[in-house]
Amino acid sequence: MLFSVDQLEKIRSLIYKQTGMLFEEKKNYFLASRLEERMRVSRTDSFNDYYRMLIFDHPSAELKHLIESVTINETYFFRDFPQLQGFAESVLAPYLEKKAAARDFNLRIWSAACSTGEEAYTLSIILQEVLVDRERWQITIDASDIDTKVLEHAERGVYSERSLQDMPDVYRKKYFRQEGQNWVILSSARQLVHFRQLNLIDRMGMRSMRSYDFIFCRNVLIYFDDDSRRRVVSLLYDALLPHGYLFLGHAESLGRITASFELQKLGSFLCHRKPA
Amino acid sequence: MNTDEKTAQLEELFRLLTSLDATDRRMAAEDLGILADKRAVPLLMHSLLDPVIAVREAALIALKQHVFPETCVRMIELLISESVPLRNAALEVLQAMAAEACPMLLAGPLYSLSADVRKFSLDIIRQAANLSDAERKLIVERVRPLVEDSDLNVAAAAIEVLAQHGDEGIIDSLLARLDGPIWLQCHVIQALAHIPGKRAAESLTRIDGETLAPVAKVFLTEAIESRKRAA
Amino acid sequence: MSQKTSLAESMLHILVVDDSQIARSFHIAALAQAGYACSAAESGAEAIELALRKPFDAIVTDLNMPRMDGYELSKRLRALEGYAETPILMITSEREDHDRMRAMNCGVNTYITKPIEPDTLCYQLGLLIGKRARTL
Repeated sequence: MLFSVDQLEKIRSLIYKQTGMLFEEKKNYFLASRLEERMRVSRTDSFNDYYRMLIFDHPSAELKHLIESVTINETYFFRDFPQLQGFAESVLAPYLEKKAAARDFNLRIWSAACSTGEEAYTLSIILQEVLVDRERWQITIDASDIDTKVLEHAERGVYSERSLQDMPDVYRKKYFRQEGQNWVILSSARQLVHFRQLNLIDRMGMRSMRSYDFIFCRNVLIYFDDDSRRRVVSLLYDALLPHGYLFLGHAESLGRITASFELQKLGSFLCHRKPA
Repeated sequence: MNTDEKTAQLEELFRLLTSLDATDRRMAAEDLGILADKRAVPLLMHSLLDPVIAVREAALIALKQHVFPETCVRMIELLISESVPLRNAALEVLQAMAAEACPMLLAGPLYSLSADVRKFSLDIIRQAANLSDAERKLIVERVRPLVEDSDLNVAAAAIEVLAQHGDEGIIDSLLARLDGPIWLQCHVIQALAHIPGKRAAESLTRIDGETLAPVAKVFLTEAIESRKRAA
Repeated sequence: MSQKTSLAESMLHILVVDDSQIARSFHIAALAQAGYACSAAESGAEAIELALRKPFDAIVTDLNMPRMDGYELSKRLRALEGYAETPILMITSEREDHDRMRAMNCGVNTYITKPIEPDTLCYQLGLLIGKRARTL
């Protein structure tokens, strides 16, 4: 469902009056997805019906629900991945909008050095939550690691309570099922993710990775020497689509390695974009 | 791989180096670096001006792997290029094969009428590693007079070279430049921190800090500290 | 070279950019004497990254650096949010007038030729920062 600029503006204004929170226009995509979800849950067919419901009481229960759903992203993510929030809000939404406008509904993401899979599954969850009209999109999340043992763990998708400590209940219930003390990821999140073994400095293997919109390679380059790091970064560069993004660890830096990426500041972290 | 196969592979890479696709060009440059065949040098030099940064960087790294006299000759020619990016690239490539480039630099560019070229030469010579005693001696002998160069930046660069390759024999030449501007004083002091041997350490402690400008004093303190740490 | 940098909020924070270690140490020592806190970058790319991570009150950059020279760095810094008016002082060994024009076109506020005297650097930087403060 598509909402007009005016409609979204009305919603933004309501939220602002209620909470003092101003949703920037660049987050329209995100707001639209939350709106569509709330309309579905409240079984309203048209925007006007939904809007009337929102303003019926002061404040209405539905407005509370809507507000909760747009602010819950504050704690979407595992505490270890605070950047992913910035990714979802500031990068993913506008990026998807541009793609949708160009009628390109393909999205490819690579979690390089995925370890036991939390990052890859988190990305899968984020995408499902942020995407409006999910069915139109062809999403691939490739996740690789050099270590086959951690990959096995990732494929099993079974996680301890500790792994999920910052997961809001809503998502826990939606994407996991409990099995004794553990939590098992459900197929709705699992199905988008494909694991494979890959060594980051293996040129042949790396060159087979192509056309990614986003690559996550966080806190792993620090283990390489300068030359290897340079090599891996050039291979990641090649694997990206023009205007695709590379995400490194919060404190990681490419300044001494290459000037080939465009730096963007998003909130408090930097990300690297491949030029056109 | 026999020579025919190698030539065929090279030709394919040369073709890709001029492809319209930037990824092809970048990968070709990278692969040429691995092959490190002299014949690739002129083409890689062209790629130093590729519109895409990633390709330029790959070409630069590839050239660094072509450690041959011919590469040095071509890069030295670029040092007087009008193009600043080419000059800088040449400098960087030569620094990566400094030992190879040294003899050529000592024979000519070091005495260039252009202060820039003299300075570039010194910056490259400074990077030379794994030198024999004879090579080192030659460097010190040829570079020492440039400590008195009329261009202060060249003089400073010469001091840095002597810090790297010199021994106790050049200490007096260095100390003589303490009468120069603060910029040179700091270079002299830092050089004395690096030159091996007791005499260099002693000459540091004999410098009267009170006669120095504040910035030079900071350098002196650090130099003395670093010698203590190294001891 | 270890450099004391104070965390006091009132200190102005300068980014020094130069590919030469000794030049960085020299400029930082000079600026520290004048009471500035300093950070250093070895290259233009590193400088941009640092500038994005934290706001600097002024930039002192060498002109002749590999990969990205002082002109290019200045142009790119000016395009960053918050750096449109940040004082940029460039250190160059060139003296020609046409270079002065190019420096101005790239957003460089002042340039001084090396080898520099510490006092000159601090004086020129002080002028720039003072000028900026008066226009705020």
